[in-house]
Amino acid sequence: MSSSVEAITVLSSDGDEFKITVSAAKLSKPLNWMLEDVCFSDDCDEVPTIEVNSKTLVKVIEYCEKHAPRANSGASDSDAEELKKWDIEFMKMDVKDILFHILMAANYLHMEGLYDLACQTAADLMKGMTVSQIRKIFHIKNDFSSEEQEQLRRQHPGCSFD
Amino acid sequence: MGDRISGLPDPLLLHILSFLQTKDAVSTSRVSKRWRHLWRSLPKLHFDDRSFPSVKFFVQFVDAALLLVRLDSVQMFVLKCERFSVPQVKANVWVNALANYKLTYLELHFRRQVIRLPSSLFVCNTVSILKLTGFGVVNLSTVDLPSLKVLHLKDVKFSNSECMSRLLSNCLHLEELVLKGSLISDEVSFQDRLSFYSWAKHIARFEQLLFADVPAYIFPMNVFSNVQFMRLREMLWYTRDDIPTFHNLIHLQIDNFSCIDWSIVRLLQGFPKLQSLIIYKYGDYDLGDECLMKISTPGVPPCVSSHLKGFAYFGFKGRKLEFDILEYIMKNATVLRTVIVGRADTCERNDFEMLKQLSSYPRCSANCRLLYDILKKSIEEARRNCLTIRKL
Repeated sequence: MSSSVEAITVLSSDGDEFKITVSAAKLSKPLNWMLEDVCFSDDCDEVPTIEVNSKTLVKVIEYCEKHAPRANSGASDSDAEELKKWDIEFMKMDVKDILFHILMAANYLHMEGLYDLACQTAADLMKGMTVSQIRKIFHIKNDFSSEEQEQLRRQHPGCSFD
Repeated sequence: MGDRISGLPDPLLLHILSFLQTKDAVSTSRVSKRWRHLWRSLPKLHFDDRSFPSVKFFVQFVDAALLLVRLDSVQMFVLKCERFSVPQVKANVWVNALANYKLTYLELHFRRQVIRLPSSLFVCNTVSILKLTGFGVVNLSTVDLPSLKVLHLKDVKFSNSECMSRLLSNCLHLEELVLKGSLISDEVSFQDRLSFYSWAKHIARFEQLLFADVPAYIFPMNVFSNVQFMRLREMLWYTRDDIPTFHNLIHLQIDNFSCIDWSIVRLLQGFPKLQSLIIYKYGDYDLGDECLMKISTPGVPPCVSSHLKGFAYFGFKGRKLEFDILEYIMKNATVLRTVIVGRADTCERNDFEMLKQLSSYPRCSANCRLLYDILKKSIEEARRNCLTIRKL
């Protein structure tokens, strides 16, 4: 791999161009493969497309760039703590809109850290919530009939603390 | 905005649910038809009795959940009984139900009582992480844990030394070992207690161990000599003598260091690659300032002269011996970046004077920072509260 390449350009599914540094791209297996492709073929003009929309890709790249130095070198505990705080801030986003795109993107890009972080965030939104609160937060339609609902309540007496 | 979450694939939703306690995960079954049976394929079960109003509800819930869940999809099992005393027989049934499947992670806490362990726990060829708190081990005939990489035992009390030895001698691939609290049952007589120490001598070296958090007095140190990270507790001065060379050790934390003296320099001879050393001194036992005779050492330890980047010492009282040792480290460590000194609560000397003296010492490394903590006794706190002293 030539060492002169410092960043690669990728296209989002909306067709916008994004730059991502080599060290940041290493956080994702598919991006890493793309990187190797780009680096190995000198005359390749084709810009690879990532099936993630622009709004999400901005966030994904932001995450990668922040986490890359630690992932590539290993850092001290105080850095880890600072990074954790950064993650919490980073995840304060609009639930309905972008969290699920991030979840899907992290899954698609094989980014374990971001995947766990997004899943944890979604789980935190459910923690201690009643059934109707969960429905409201995630806009889930209650498709049980009233008889079914009654039956469910009877079947799980141990779980109906709400 | 529509319902996006329900459109996610099963493995993804299950991964989200596995961050929840099983109680919360189960209650999602009533959200909609999509979620109805989802939780039954949970890869991780997590029961915590603190989320339940009584032991009856808790036992009922765990029983029902284990009956309904697909046991072969469960890889991680966490059971925390912090609040109630759970019947012995129930605990055994739950553990037995899962131990036969492909568990990789098993964490069991019993805070209110000491539960006797079912032996099925120790014959499980998939489990790689085992964390146990509050157990008694009476009889352990067979141990077969070929995949075990991480073992934490906290207040796990063995009734006889053969059991302990059998368990620890059969964990050949262990990478992380944490032993906290007493390992010996309260019922063991004083005479039999001695047999634990003699058995411990026969435990073979953990060849693949990377991380050890262990008391310093039970095992001979050579069983841990391959580790990279080590935390030692209850280190008394007399245990410092027969320490072998730790060729891989990078990070060492010593808690409850009984007293600091020049034997620390001899100790460091055994850690040629050590990069960071944290000492928490404890107790009021100190050698008098008149015992300053420097023991003869074959020169500056190799770790000090070429590897040591961080040195932290908590429990500083401002004694001459402590100043001398700090001076010695700062004078000889060529790549030292940070020295943290945490003052003991009982120290009565004036901070400013001690600071002045510390900062006057020559530092061999040009980049060495000296941090003096007047408030707290932990590294994280120290980093926040420390006064940074620049070279005068």
